[in-house]
Amino acid sequence: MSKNIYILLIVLASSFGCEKVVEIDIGQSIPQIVIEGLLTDRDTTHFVKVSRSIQFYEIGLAPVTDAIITVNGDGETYNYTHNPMAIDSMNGYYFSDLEYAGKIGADYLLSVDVAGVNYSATDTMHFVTPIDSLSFSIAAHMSEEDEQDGKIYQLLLYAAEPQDTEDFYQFQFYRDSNLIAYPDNIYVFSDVALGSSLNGLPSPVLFRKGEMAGVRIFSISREQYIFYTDLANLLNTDGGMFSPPPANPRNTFSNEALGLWQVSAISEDSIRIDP
Amino acid sequence: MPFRIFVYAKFITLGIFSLSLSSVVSAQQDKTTLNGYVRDAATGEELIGVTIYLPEIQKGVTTNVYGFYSITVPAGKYIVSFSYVGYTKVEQDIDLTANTELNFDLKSAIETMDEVVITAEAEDANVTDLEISTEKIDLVALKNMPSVFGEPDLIKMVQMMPGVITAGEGTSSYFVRGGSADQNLILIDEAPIYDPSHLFGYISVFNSDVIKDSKLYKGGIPAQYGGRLSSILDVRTKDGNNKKYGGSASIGTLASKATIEGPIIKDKASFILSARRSYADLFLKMSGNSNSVYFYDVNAKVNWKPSNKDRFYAAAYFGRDAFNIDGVFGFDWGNATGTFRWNHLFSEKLFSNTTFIASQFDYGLELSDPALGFKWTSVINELSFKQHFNWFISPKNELDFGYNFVYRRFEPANFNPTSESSIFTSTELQKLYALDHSLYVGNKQTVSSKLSLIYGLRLSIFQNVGPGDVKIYDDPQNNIRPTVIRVDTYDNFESIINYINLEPRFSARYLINDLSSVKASYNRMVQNVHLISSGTVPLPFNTWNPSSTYLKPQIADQVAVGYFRNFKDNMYSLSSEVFYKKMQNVTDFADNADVFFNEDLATEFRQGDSEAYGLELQFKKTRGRFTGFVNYTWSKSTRLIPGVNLGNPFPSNFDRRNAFNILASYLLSERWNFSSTFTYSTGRPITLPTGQYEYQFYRPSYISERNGYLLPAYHRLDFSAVLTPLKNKNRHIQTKWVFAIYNAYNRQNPFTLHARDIEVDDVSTGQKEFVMIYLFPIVPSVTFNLSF
Repeated sequence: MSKNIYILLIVLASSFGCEKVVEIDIGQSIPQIVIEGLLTDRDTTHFVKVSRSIQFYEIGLAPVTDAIITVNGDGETYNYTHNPMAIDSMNGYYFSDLEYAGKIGADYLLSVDVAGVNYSATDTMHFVTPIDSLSFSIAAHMSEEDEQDGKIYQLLLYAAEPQDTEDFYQFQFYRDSNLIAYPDNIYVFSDVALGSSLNGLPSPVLFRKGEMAGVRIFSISREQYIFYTDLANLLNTDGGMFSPPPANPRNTFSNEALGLWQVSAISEDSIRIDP
Repeated sequence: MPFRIFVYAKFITLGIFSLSLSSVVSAQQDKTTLNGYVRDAATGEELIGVTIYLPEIQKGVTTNVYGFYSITVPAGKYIVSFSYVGYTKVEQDIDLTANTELNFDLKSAIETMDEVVITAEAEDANVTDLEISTEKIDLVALKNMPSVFGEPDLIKMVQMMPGVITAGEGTSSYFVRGGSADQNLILIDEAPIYDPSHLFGYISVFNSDVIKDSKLYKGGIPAQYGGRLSSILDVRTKDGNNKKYGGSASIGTLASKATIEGPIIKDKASFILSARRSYADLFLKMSGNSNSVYFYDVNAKVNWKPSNKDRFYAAAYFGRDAFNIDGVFGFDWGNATGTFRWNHLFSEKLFSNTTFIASQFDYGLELSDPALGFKWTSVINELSFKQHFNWFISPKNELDFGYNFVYRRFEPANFNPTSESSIFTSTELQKLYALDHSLYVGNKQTVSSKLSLIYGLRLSIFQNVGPGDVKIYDDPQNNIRPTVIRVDTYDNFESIINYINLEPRFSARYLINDLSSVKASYNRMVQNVHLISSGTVPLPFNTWNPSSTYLKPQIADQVAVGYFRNFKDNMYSLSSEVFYKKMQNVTDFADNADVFFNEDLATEFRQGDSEAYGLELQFKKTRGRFTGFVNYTWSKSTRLIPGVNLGNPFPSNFDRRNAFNILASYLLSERWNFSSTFTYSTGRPITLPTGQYEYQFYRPSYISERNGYLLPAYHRLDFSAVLTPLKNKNRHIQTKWVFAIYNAYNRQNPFTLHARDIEVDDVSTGQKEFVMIYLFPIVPSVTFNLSF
């Protein structure tokens, strides 16, 4: 919600005002460890990505290739190996030696050792509500751009929302099996204001006729939800005029590593847009 | 010589003791009291701050904010002079044998003099006034001053005063002496305005046509005012002409307005009604645009003055802003205030003002959508009662005392689905209640012809009361997973927590000679309402909280010392002040705080210390064809908040090292008046990223320090020309044109600066850049005014 308000204000300020790209001498920052780990309830190999932050005006990734990574949970220890296939684009990626599936209700500890410093985080795998069904309709509101592009259909999602638990969800959307990746959009929900059923929840992204529209729901913990809302605020900050001053997203890592250890159950479905 | 003895007695015994002595002594002498109201001869408006002076005995007094004066002197024959700059000075012989009521009408200088010379202040007020750190806003200069859309705006003038920093272009927020925007109390006819902005601050809620008087207190704040740390902006509106009907209208680029006023019963009762509305939405509609934006406000006032003894006033302000984007997303906000006032004279010397005030601020956000539709509302209500006494004991002592009671109800958020099929359910954040009692006493004492003092004390008793639940946390600062140990439940009006504070106030003025004085002040201020905003500029969507279990009262101690000097028969004045302000428990928020809809908002609060100090200089020319001022402020403001910026001190959002404001006005002829303003200020401190990284397909920025950078400096030059056609003289309807150019050299002043990804077709390239948003390029405007 607050994110929407800030975005709105930026839109307003920009519509009254003008934008100009400026060069700023911001000096050098000390590279920080960044960890991106995802464990799901799918029986597969899971990955952890380790890198360092780079300077503001640099591009690319500074992968860390010599980390020691383990995941502990449900009475087991899983070891991860760096880029086992030795593919250049996979530098910084570590894969579990074994295929395994996370269990709902279990805690998982990720431990990453880099140059003698241990970065660790624990999270719990929560239940995810199954998708009852999907449908689609012509969206009530759309941008001119989308309309010209033929993107006029919204995906509608039907699912139950358990009212006795505190639940958080992350949504991802797929267009013909490709993840829709807008660089400043994050779709997370808290169930604080949700009713007992998601009765035709419209997707924030729109589809063309004939496309395969897909959605994935990740159950996330409160900590993960906070990380994503912080990240959304950071990606959409107005520089602290109306919005809070930009800050690094909070996470559960020790020793101030950036990134997130995400432990999620997944439910997914897709539908062909064929009106 | 009993009189001489009396004077000596006053010299030896200071303070309250001397007050009682003086009453006793005066009772034994043949003393008489001259009292009454001073008014404008043409409109019947009471005049605030008129000097009434008896030259034979070198005693004087000024009218209070209600236009009343009272002076007690030995019986005898006197010359009494009434003087108020902008008005013709009048002297009258009077034979005082008994208590005498004398209402006096002063004629505006415009009607009696060829060369128009107007300033709002008494000529030597700068030097002789007891007040330090106080700015009286010059309303005439305001009307001629250039403004962005040709709409004269009180707040824009306030933002040019020394010690005041504008929060940013296009905002109605301001920072006073290193304090935040919510530390400024803004009063309209004694009722508080919680958000002074229209159109997100492009202009303020004050309609300049109805303002009678306006004063900004930055320090040396009298005991009768309280509740905020950094400043009081006291705005008084006109009562309405009680002699004849009149009106005015203006057509501007942004908004149009109309005012009518007139007598209900001649000389006894009158009214004033003023309304203003923007009309950008009408143009948008005509051009087929489905967005809508407008604001309006209405000021209304009636008064009934059956006698000097009893006078009744009722005033209302109502204003609202509404935005609608594409018929889908709507938001609106507004203030509404009502004041009922009764002035009563218990005796010639004891003036009483009883006020009932109601004030409301609310906002709403609404999304219309079958599945995601919701309406969100938030309200703050305030009811207050004030009993103020103004006791004109003697020309040497004037006592103010009273009691103020405030009831506040905070409704932070109400969230409701707008359709049956909505995925949302109704939910709300808990309402909060507070009671505030204040008792105050303050005395203005003339110790000698050179030394005068104002001293006082304010007792603030604050109660956070039920009904309500208070969550007791395991760790009140854990905002990630707050753990509630227990919940304490409170009944209606049951006390949850009390805060009692004593606020001493003191200021002194010593006249070195007729042309110069030194002044000093100390005051403690306490604030028990806290704005829940973590941005630099407050938004209308910010809520307020009372002091509570988790929010301690904010406290400020301030000292200020100044030297004041007038030159060339008061044509030029120089004011210089240094101040030091130490604030405790200033309210700040944790990094990443969620302040919008948070059931555990208390875990986001971070309170700490703040320190500000600075130098303020003002040079003013108040007479002649060429008038204006040059204001300069050097200041520094830092915060140290445990839990913010890793516990390291950081520059506050209100820190600006240098601020410089010039207003110059030149009266070329009876037809033309030219004005120009120039403003310069060091850039705002800002938090900028120093690095970046990859997470999934996102490229977040890496932040290493709060407020570690400065935006580029802000500067701007404006011009305006006011044309008053000569044929006005023979017409019933008077016309006036105001031509203005805002930002004459088209400076791109940074409004804000933020980092973003360079994207191609909605996909990040991984490269980042900084984008500066600036608001107004060069903006010309024309406003047409007419009055009758």
